[in-house]
Amino acid sequence: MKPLINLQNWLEQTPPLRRVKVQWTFEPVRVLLVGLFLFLFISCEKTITVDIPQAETKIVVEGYIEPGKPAQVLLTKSSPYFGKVPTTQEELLAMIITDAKVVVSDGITTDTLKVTYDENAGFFPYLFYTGDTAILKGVPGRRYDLKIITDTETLTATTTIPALIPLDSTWFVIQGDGHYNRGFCWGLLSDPDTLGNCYRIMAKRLGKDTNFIAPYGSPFDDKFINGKSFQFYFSRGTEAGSTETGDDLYYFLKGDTVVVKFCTLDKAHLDFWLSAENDIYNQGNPFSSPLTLITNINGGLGVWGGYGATYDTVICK
Amino acid sequence: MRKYTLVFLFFFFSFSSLVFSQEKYTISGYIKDKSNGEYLVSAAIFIPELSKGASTNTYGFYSLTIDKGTYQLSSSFLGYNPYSQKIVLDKDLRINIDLDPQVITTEEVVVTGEKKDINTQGTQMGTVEMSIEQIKQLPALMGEVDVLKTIQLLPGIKSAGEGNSGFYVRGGGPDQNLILLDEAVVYNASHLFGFFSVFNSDAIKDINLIKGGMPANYGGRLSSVLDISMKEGNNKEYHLDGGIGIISSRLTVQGPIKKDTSSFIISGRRTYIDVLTKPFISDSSKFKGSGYYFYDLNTKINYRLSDKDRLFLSGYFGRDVFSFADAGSGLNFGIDWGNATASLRWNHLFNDKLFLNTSAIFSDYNFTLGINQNDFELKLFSGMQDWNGKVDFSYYPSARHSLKFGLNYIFHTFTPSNASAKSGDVVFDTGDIVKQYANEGALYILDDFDLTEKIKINVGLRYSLFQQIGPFDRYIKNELDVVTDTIHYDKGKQVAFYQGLEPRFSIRYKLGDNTSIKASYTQNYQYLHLASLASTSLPADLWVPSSDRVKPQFATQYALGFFQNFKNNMFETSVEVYYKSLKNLIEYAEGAIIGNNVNDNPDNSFVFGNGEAYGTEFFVKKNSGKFTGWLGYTLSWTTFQFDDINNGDPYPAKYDSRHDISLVLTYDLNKHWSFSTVFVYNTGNALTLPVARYLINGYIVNEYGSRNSYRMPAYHRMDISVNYYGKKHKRFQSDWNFSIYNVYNRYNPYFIYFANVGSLEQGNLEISAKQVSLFPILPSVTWNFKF
Repeated sequence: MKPLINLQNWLEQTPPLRRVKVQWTFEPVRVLLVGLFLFLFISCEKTITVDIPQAETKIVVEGYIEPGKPAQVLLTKSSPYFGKVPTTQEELLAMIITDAKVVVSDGITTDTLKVTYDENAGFFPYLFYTGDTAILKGVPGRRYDLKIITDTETLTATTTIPALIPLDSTWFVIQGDGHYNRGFCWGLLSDPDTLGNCYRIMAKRLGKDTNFIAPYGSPFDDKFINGKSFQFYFSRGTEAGSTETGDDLYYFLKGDTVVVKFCTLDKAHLDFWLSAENDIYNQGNPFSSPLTLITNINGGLGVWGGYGATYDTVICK
Repeated sequence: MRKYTLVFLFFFFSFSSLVFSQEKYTISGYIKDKSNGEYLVSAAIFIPELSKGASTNTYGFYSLTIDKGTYQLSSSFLGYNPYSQKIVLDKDLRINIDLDPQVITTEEVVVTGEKKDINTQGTQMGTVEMSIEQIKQLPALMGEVDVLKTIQLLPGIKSAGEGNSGFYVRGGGPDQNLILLDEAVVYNASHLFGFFSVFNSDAIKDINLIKGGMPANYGGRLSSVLDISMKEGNNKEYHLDGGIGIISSRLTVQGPIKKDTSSFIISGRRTYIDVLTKPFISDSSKFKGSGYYFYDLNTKINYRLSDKDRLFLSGYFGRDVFSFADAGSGLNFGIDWGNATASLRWNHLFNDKLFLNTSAIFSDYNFTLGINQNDFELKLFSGMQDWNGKVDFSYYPSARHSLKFGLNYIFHTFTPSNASAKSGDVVFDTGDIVKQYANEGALYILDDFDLTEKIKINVGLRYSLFQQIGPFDRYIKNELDVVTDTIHYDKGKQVAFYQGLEPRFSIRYKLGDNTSIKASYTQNYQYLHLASLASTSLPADLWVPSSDRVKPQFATQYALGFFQNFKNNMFETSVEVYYKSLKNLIEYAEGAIIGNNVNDNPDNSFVFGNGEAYGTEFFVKKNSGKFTGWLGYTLSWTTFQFDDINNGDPYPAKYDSRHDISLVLTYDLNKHWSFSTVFVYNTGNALTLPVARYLINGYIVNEYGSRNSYRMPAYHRMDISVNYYGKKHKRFQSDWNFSIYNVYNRYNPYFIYFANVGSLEQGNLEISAKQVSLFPILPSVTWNFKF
C-alpha cells in the first residue's frame, strides 16, 4: 500500500508549505477503498496459473547523461511475464546485452560507449556502457542523440539536459509523531516564470546508501507552482526489493549526512518516470488502469534521459 | 430523412383516430388492492366481447373508450383474484375496481381466460415487470433482498461483478441506466461499494425495467430505465412490519391518515456490522472508533383531494458511513456518501380521457472524505444535485389509441471534485470550490395505437436539449499538458449547447392469439457522463456534464423479437436480437491521474470513442403452477474503439460477456413452505494483463498486452433458499427465509493481480498471479413479521 505514503506526507505538511497551492487528487481515495474491501469482507486469495500469450523480447534501454559526466547506458532484454527469473550469473548475463554498438552524439561530437562494470554507479546489474569524458560529457542546454545497433535491430532516442535550476537551500526538520530523532529533508525551490519546468529529486545517505534513491513522488512539474518560490519536503525512498520495515522507514535520522540530487529534465523524461512510478506503486491494485511505461526510445522500451543535476549536502541535526 | 418520415407517420395516425370516431363512451377509473388501498400498476382491464383492453398507468389509472353496448368488464392482475362485472355502456362510466389479493393455497393458481397477455400483445420489447413478492422468495446474499441483483438475472442484463449492484444493459455502461425512485433519479444505487442496493424491499411496490425500445416519455440515458415505485401506505388500517437479518434490520410503519383518503408509510433499514463487531474491539485497541454502517429511510404520504385530484409526497434518504481511527498515529478519517431524493406529485383528471401528472423532484448525491491528524484537516468532496420539474399527460382518445405527451426541465449542479484543507487556524489555498451548472430540457409525444387487429404501433418523438452555463473556467492546454490559456464564462453565460431529436418506434405484428413479432428502433441522447478509472463503479466516481469538450453520448438501437405464450399464458417465451451503436463514450486517457480543479478541468483528461453492441437473448418463463421461474440465456458482444486507447484498435469492453445463463426456480410446496434456487453462469470479465516484464532502476515493471485481451475464469454460482410462512393469526404473521449463497463454494474471481516479491539482485525474486475471491459459501437467516 505504498501510495498511502503520499497521503501521509500530505498530512504532515507543516506551516511553511501554506504558501503553496495544495495539490491533491482522488487517487488516495481509491487506495483507501481497496483497503476497505479487505477490512470488511471475508475474502480469500489463491495463486493461480494464467496462460499468457508469448510476447516478443524487446530491448530495454536505461540511459542517462548529466553535466560533466559521460553518458551511461544499460541494455537489457524484456522477458515473458512468467519466464524464468534469473538466479545464476549465467542467467543474469543472458538478459544483458553487451555486444551492441552504442553511440551518443551532441550534434558535433560522437562517442562510442564501452562496456564497464561499476557497483557504485547506481545501475543494477552494474554492467553497462559508458563514454569517455575526454570525448563527450554532458552540458546543460544541449541535446543528445543515442543510437544503438545490435545484430538485428537499430534503436534511436533523443534527450536534452535542461538548464540547471539548483535548490536555493536545503535543510533537515525533525518531524514524525513525537519522535525526536527522525524527520524529512526540506528544500527551497524558486521555479522560473515559464511554465513547463520538470524536476526529479533523489537522495543518498553517505555511508548507508550506495545509490541515489528517489522517494515516492520524485518526478513533478511546475503546474501548481509556476513562478513561485516555495518550500517542500521529501521522505526517504527505498531501493527496489527493499525489505526494510520499522518505524524509521521513509525517515532520515538525526546524524545522517544526505546528499540531495536535484534534477531538471525534459517532458518526455518526466513522463517516463511518472508512468514508471504509476506502474511500480500500483502493482496489485485492482482499481488502477494498467499501462505500459511511456518510452522515448524508438524501437524499444525504457528511457534515454538527460538530468540537469545539481547537488547539495544536508547534515541532519 | 428517416426522422421526418417517422414524424409524418406519427401525425397521420394521430389524426386518423378522429376520422373514424362513432358513438363511443369511456370507462375509466382506478384499480386498487382491496386489502390496503395501494394502487396497482399495469393491472389489466379487458372487454372479452371486443377482445379489447387497457392497463393501468403508474398511478393505477385506466381509460378505455369503446362503442356503446352491454359488456362484461373484467380485470386481472398477477397475484390477485380476477374480477368481472356486467356493464351497460350508454354513457361515460367511472368504475374503480378493488382487486382481492390471492391467498397462497396448495391448489394450483387458476389462470383466467381473460388475463391479458401483455407479453405478446403489447408493443413493448425488452420490458420486464416484477413484483416484490416474487423477488422476496429468492435467495439473497446475507439475507438482504435486493431488487438490483434480481434484475441482473434477466437476459441482456449483466452484473458488474461479484456483489456489485452496478449493471450493464445490452452493452451499455452503468451510467447509462436511468434509475428512478418515484420519478427521482438515483445517481448511485448502491451501498457498501455495490454489495447491496439502496432499495429497501419493504418500501417498494413495483419494479419496471426497460432495456430496449425505450418509449419517448423516458430519456436522458442510453441503455435502460429502471422505474421503481414506492408503496403508498395502507389507507385502511395500521400495520407494522419488519425483519431481522444477520447484517441489518428493517421496520416499516404504515396506515391511514384519514381512512380511504390519505395514508403514510415510513420504512427504515440499518446495518449493524459496526454494532456487532464493537464488543470484539477492545478499549485499548489501536483502531477503536473504526466502523462501518449504512442506513436508509423511505417515506411517502398521499392524499386524495377529490375524485379527480391526488397528491403524493415521497422521499428517500440513505447514507453509507465509514470511519477509521488509528490511535497510534492520531489519524482519523471518515468516508460518507449517499443519496437524497424528494418527489412531490399531483395527479389530475381533466376528464375520463385526459390524465395529468405534475411532478417537482429533487435528487442529490454526494461523497465526502474527511481526514484529520493532529491539527491538520483535509476534506475532499464531490457530488451531483438536480431540481427537476415534469408535466406528463396521458390521453386515451379511443380504445385504439393511447397518447402521452409532456415536458421536462432539470437544473443540474455538478460538484466534480473539490477540496478544503486547514492546519490549525491556517486555511490552505485549494482553489475555489468549483461547481458546474447545466439546464436540461425535453419535450415528447408518443402514441400507442392499433393500426389493424394485427399491427400495433408505438411511435414517439423526443426533443431534448442541454446547456452548460457559467460561472465556469476552461483551461486550455497544449500537447505538453501545459495551460496556455483560460476562458472565463460569467454566471449564466452559455458554455456549450446541444440539442437533438430522438425518434422512438416499435411495432408488433400478431401472428396468432399467443404469438407475435416485434421490432423497435430508438435513438437516445445522454448529456451526463460518469467518469470512472476503476474496473468497478465506486462511490468516488465523478458525474460530469456534456461541455464544450465533452459531446453528448448518443445511441441507436435496433431490436427484433419473437414472442410466444403457451398453455394459456402459463409459459412465456421470447427470442430477441439487438444491435446498438454508441457514440461519444468517454474514458480517462491512458495513464491519467484523476484531475483536480486547480488550473485544470476534470474533462481535460478524457478521451472519446465509440462502441458497438449486439447479441441475442432467449427467455422462457413459467408464470403459474407450483413450479415457477425462468431460464434466460444471452449471447452478446460489446466492442469499443477509441483513437487514443489500445493504439486505436477496437477492444472488448471490460463487461463484454459472451455467454450469460441464469436459472431461477421457485417451488411452492404448500402454504407454509416454498423453495427457491438461482444459478448463474457468465463468461469472465475482460482484463488487461502483463505479457512481459523488464527492469527499470532495479524494479520489475510490466509490459501490458492489448487492452482487455484476457478473460478471467468464468463466473458461476448457485444459491438456494427455503421460506417458511408461519401460521396466519388474526393480527400477526411472520415468515422465515433461510438462504445459502454460493452453495458449492465456488471461488469466483473478484480480481486478479500480479505480484513480484523479492529482488533480482538478491536472487530471490518471485513472480506470481493471484486471484482474490470474495464470498465463499454463506448461509443467512432472516425473520420477517407483520402486525
